[in-house]
Amino acid sequence: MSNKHLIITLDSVSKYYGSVRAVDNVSLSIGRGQMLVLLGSSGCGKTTALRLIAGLERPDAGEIWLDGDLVAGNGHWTPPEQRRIGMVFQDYALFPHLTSMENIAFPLHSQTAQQRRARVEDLLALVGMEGMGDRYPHQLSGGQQQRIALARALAPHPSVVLLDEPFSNLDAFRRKQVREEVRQILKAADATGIFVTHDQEEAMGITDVIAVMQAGRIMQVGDPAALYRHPELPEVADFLGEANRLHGIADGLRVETALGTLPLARAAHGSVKALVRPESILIERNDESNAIVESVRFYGYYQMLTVRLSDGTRLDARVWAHVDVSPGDPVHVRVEGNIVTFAEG
Amino acid sequence: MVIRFMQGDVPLNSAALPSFERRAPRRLSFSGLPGWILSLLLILVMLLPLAMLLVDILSPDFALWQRMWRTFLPDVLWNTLRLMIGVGVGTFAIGAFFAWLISTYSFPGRRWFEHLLLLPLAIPGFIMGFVYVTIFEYAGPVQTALRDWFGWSRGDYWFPNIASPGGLIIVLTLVLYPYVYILARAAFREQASSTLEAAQVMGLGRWRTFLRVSLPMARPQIAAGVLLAIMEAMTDYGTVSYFSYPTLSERIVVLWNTSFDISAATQLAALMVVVALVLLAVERRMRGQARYFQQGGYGRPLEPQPLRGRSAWLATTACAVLLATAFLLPVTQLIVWTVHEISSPTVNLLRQAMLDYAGNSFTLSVLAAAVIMVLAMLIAYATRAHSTGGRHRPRWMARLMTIGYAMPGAVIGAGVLTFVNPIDGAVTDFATDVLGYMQPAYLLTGTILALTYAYVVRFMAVGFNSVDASLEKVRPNMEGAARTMGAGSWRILRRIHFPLIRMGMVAGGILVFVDVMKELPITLLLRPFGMDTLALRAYFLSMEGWHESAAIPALMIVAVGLIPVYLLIRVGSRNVK
Repeated sequence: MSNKHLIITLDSVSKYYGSVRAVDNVSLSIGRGQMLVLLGSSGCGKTTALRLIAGLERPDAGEIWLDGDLVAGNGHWTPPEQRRIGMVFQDYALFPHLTSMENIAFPLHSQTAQQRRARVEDLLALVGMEGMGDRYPHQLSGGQQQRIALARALAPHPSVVLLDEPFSNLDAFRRKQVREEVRQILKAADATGIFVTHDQEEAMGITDVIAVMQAGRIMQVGDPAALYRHPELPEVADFLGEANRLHGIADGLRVETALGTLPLARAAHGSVKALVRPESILIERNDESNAIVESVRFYGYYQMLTVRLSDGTRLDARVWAHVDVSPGDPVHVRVEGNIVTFAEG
Repeated sequence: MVIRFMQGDVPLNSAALPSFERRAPRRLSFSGLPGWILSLLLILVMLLPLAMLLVDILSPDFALWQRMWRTFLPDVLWNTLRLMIGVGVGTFAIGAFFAWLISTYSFPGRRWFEHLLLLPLAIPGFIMGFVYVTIFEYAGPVQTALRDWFGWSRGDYWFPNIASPGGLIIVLTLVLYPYVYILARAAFREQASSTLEAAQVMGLGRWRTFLRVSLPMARPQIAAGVLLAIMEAMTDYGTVSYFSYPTLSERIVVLWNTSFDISAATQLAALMVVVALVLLAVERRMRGQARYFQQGGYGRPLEPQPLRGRSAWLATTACAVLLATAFLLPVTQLIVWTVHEISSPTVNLLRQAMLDYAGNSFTLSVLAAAVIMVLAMLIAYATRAHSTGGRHRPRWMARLMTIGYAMPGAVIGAGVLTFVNPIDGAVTDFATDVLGYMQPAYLLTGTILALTYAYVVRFMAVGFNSVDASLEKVRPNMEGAARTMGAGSWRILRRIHFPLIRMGMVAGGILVFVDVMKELPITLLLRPFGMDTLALRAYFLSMEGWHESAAIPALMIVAVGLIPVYLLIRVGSRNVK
């Protein structure tokens, strides 16, 4: 199971709480220096997966390998304090009775006072919190606490940093900025990162590899574009964004639908549901109209149209704000790019 | 008279638990099964005296009950009921009214009165009682002054008799209204102003808004406060006995201590256990409701409306009068008596004695506080609410520990004696039969050991709630964080847990200390022969009419009692911010 490039490997790992399968036969590999996002709705088991890697939970089945060593499973157990993993908790779990500096120095207890001080100063600079070392957690804003928690997790040079919903306590505006900072900091520290989040936009913003989890299982792993454009399961498709479903008859890399023959990204046969994202639907105003605009909802930089095809099929289409349409307008609708289909049912 | 605020009336533990907690694997070996078994064992030992009383009532002695019914029982029951109703009505009226006045209006001195109206909590009922009786009785300064001014003599004028059931109800109301006041104030504070504004928009005036919206919304909390006051009145021993007003609680002590009618005392105590359990259950229900009712209380908090002119001064005067009657007058009187007593020629003799009593009080209080805090920490830690090897502490555990606190001291005293006496009896038999030792052995009866045990049974809840609340500040993720950073169990205990629960230990210790300091019936029933405490001394001296001598220990008790009130005020003002 050992592999030089893989820093974390989960092999058929399961964790049960009574009859609830919090993590259900999960296998996952992460390479050194990679950033992976575990994406899923609340209660899907993503936090439990993170805690299993950290050693805060014991798996009921399966094996967990860290940097080539078996740390859990098959009779082995390495407690969290020996795994050399950094973790940022959702509530930050800063120690309220210690200052920022003391919080960051907490994992550095085996070093001399001088080394400790130097490392703490470095980390405060890294997270942009110079001069704030004497403040207690309650004297810091949410974003500042988050950065101290990150600095604390990075203090002992861990090769893996786990982040559990690290941005959920920040407002939408700060979130983007902090997210980018955290990415930079992790890259600068040359650390492997696993993020847990329920926010698909955030997930796509953070990283190149997303693992979508549902009901304790990993549904699909891939880069954001592939997951969004070519989901393998309808659940993944819905979780990542809105989608139209069109009835069609597929034959190889083609599908026959109410919008004509469309190219497929994956071969399929027979009666299927074709998945068409609203922004893949192009609205044109020309003589050959094949649909009527039913309603227009204006959202600022884009607007959402509902159009009705001549056969009665309704579709949602996302168009830019400048497109000037009103309910009742005849329009021409076509689909751009290749699409995926799922078995009907 | 005990201060109960650690029981959750005021949220000392403001750190609500986030919902994303997960169960964690077993951590310290002590948190596992051994800790649980030890905790359950300790709780069992604490409940044993009460359980034995309950067993006693399962086999009622009907002849005894008949005899009691023919002699004193109807009067005693009626007295107890009358007192509970009177104190309930009194504390409701004063507590709810002032809580409303202070949270709805602003007027000169409001900020001060808001906190100062809690001060009467520091005065035990029997001290308030003897001060009031001494001031207002026939030979007291008030009536003497009236006679001197108007040249009256006995029978020429009417003056209310303070040493009467009415006087007793007034005295207990004055010391117990803060319970209702605290809870009602918190309830009014949580009411969103929008709700009240809505009522006003719909055409209700302030007063009718209070009657039809604020008061009904605060009903569960106010009811809980009134119930606490009623339970205190029911369990009171010192005050009722000073007023020679026999209640159930008072009868138990008298039957046991003076008439030596042990079986009657035990049966009455068992009856009170049942009554107290019922009241406790009712109080729990109301608490639960209170929590439910608070759900709607979000939004902008109530902005006190300024009062102007006559009504402003009326409000200030009302608060000033209450503060003066319930605190300033009795405390000033105690100080005057103390000064007088200290400057009298017999003082040297007394000073030595007082030092002894103070020393006894201190020893007993420290001992009880230390034992309770150590046990409380063990139990709280071993059965932590969050996560102990996947086991969550069931709520009944904390509830079992609060039962002792709801019991009258007299009942616990009686319970411990029924538990301890047979043990001593068995030891004596053994000594006589086997060793040929012809003297009765009092290994437990009348020792500090039995006394401390009774204190633990009575006051465990105070210490436990305090430690447990502070332990809640330790979020499970903090332990997880510490572990991922390489900290082992011992380091987590030393660097995280201990610093965070230290304040809770100190606060809990202080509360137990003060409660034991003020305690009367348990000490009276179980103390080693001749070991008098300040509270007992104040009680005995006042019973015999030596009010100036009684003032010295009384004043010391009030002074110590101010410490937890101060803590309470600090917590209260922090919550506001």
